[in-house]
Amino acid sequence: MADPLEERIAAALSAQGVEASAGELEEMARAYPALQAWIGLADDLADGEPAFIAPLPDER
Amino acid sequence: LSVTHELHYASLIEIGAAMARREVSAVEVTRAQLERIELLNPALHAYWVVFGDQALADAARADAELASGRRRGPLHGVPIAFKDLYELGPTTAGSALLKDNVASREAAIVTSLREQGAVILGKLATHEFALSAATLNDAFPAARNPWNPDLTPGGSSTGAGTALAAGLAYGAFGSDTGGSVRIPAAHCAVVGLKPTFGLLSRTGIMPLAWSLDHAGPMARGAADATAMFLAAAGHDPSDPSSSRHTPGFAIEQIESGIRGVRFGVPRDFWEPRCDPEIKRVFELALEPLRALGATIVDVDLRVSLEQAIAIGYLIMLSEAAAHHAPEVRLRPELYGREFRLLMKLGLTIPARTYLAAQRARRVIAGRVGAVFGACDLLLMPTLGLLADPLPEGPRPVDKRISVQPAQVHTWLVNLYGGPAVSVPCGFSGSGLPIGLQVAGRPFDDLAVLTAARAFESATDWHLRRPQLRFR
Repeated sequence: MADPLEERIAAALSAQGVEASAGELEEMARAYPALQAWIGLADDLADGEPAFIAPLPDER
Repeated sequence: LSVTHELHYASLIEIGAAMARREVSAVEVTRAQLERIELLNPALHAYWVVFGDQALADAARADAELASGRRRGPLHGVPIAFKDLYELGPTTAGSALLKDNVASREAAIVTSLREQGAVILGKLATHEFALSAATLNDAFPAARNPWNPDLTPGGSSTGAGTALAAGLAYGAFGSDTGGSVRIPAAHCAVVGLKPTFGLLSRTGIMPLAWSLDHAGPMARGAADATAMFLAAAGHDPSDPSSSRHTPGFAIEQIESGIRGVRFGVPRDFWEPRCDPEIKRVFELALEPLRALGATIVDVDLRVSLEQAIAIGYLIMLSEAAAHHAPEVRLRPELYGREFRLLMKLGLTIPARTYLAAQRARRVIAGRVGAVFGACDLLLMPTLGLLADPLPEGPRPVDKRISVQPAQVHTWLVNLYGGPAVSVPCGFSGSGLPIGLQVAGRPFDDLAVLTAARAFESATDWHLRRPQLRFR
């Protein structure tokens, strides 16, 4: 496995006891830039938000 | 029964009332439904399991009660069905992992509907664990869209959309994490309601994402969906997310009209990538609402489609991966490829990111709340795309996780937890259904259902039926 991104994904999964085939890692790596972009969107929106308390309407 | 159309397309309320008047029996109606399922289901695959004998026995009991003067409610004797995510007999969630699973309990909503006298016809097709899209080569047959059987009925409550559009049930219950009730409703020209989070129990419904999952009714009209919602609603102490709020209204109230109601159209959210044909149909759909006395104003939501889907997916993938991690570790080969890879990707999302997504969700909910100062309800196409062809095999995950995600306008409402309904509002030039989404403030389910019912009263889109090739 030469691709550093695939190696990082494999390591993250392996740390949780999950294996992935070479084909699976290649496919996941193709989705990773979009996933990283999504994480960036979350970070940008969350910036300045003090805390997560409850995400939903809750009158209790 | 004084119906001018076919029995199988009668409304749930109409058929229930006819039974109460003893003009038709529950056994006759149930038998007719079972015969139609036998005829059409081999081609449409709406149902994975049909409880034929049990349904007839339950119908006979409903008739006996009516004969003795007891009517439990508007659903008494009416045949309905449940997505195969609800625990009820054989329950697979569309996964080979559970192909031999028989539920040891019954979902709380199933029990509620039984107590209301409903007759349960069977279990309806679903995307695997309500997520990965069905394909033509799955372990379970993919439900077909009655408007064009080469296309998806929309998911993940696929079988519910198919069954209702084909006249194979009078109502159905699905589940909705990011749009899985409203999407098939839009693609199949039926009505789907995602109620306010907490109003319908989720006990006994297999989870996809705990903080986003909702149960939701589907039917061929807003009044029918309301009847199912009210029959199922109520606090459930066994569901930690169950609200102590009740819907707080009677079904007759949805007929009160929309004079003076202010609809906000958040064009910055949905318009940039919407299919132009759908946009044109949406603009035409505004006219009957104006004619009914409503005001329509553009509002600036300050949330993009990409933001809503990114935040929704980060939360959903994290929560779903946490739930499925043990089996992904031990028996990954039993999951379909798309679902398995999405779960593995979910396992790579750090806790810090999950919390950032939940914090971002609060920001989005706050922006939606601010817009509700300028309007009473939000209005937009349910989807900005038409139904896709059913794929031959699993889609690559970068089709799902993309910087240009599919034009699905439903995620927004799951993020803030309010009510939303999809109601038919027109057709494409190719004859495919288009849905109108009405979304409201949390616990204002009455307002969205009233708007949907008012729209129906001025249009006939919800009365159109597909020309089935299988008659």
